[in-house]
Amino acid sequence: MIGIIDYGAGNLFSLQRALRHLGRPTRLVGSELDWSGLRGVILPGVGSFAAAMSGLRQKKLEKPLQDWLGAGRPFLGICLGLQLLFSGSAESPQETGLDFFAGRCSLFEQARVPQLGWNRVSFTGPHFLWQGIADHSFFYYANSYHAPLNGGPPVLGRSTHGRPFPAALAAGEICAVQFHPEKSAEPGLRLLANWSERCRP
Amino acid sequence: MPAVRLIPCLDVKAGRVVKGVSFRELRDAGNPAELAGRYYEQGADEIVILDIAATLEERCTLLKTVRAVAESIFVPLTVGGGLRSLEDIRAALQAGADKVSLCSSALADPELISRAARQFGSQCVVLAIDARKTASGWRACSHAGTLDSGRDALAWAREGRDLGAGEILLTSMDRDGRGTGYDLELLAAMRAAVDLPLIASGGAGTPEQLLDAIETGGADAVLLASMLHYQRYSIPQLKSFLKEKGVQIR
Repeated sequence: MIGIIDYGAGNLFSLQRALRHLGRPTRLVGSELDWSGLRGVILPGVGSFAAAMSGLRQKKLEKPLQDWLGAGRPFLGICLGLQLLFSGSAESPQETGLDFFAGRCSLFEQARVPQLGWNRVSFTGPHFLWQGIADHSFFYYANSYHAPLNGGPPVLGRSTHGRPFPAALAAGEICAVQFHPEKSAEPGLRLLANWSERCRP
Repeated sequence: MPAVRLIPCLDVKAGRVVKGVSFRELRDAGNPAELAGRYYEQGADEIVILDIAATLEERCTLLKTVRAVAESIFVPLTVGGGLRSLEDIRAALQAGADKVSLCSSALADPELISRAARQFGSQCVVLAIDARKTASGWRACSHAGTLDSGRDALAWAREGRDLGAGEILLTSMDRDGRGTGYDLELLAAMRAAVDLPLIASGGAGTPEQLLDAIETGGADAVLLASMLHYQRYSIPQLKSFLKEKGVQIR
């Protein structure tokens, strides 16, 4: 069973639908009590950095999430869900993130924001997330902020919007993508299928 | 930079896709889920569904339509027409929309834009502007183009951006459904007025006109209806034309 963290904002339906299409059962995780029996956890993200963090705290999800990350169990952060892994973001300067990775997210400069649309991802090397996906494939983005360019976890791929930025990151089983795989047609579905394989018993 | 998006638009009335000329003389163009599924398979970058009747009784029909369409496509889905409150917007998102398009309701209640952006994020809020040319510039119209709001379309776009809209869907009322080309002057004026992603709509009839909207008008995306619904052109055909012309296309 794959858990989708529900902190009260955002469209979780697209993600549930995509995983259902792939034959992978999901369960919404909206409290500290819903964590038993999970093999993998997805942190989706829509809305602002501060609103998401306060939603996670209100629903007492921050601590179990940090424990999950600390244990190195299969995890996928999507869009804001990638940014929340860092210590902070220029979007909400007063707010502390999950602080699993060091560094702060910043606003795109010299490029139109939000970045809305399909952008190519150049892989930095082979990875289980990219299996069966062609290098330079297009993925769908909807973001104004991006992960730090240096000093963060290993970068699996980059896109360019004004400047190159991390499209996907991973440290062991902890993966995160800045684009929306659930909205990225075939390559996106394949990525979700690849990640889901890591959640098998 | 993101690729230029080709976005089929399904105008829906009573559960069917319709298409008219300048929002009138509506003709049936098919079943929404079937058309959306076909466009997804052909490589549509996004799908827009606009409920053009948007009466209360049709709202449930629309949500049913959205659910059916969302089930089979894995690209972004934008839904608009008669969304007047955060509850309406939430219902559309829960039915499977990724973004909502606000037009008349935003003109009547501009704060709806900021409430929606705060709750669901700017990337979720598309400001749709139906613009009609007058002696003193373009006016933003409401109620499917039947009422002149009295607002200048460009000023309204800037206000919408400041309130938190993440994207502008700009329709030329004068060109809609005619196939005579986009209003390039309007597009270029809007491009200069706001630095948000801009979707060109109203008037597409030939592949060359799409290229004009992108190159001369500065559009980030083009909305297509008549051109596709009656199978005059297919998405792969349009994409390969634009690619050959050097446009970055998915």
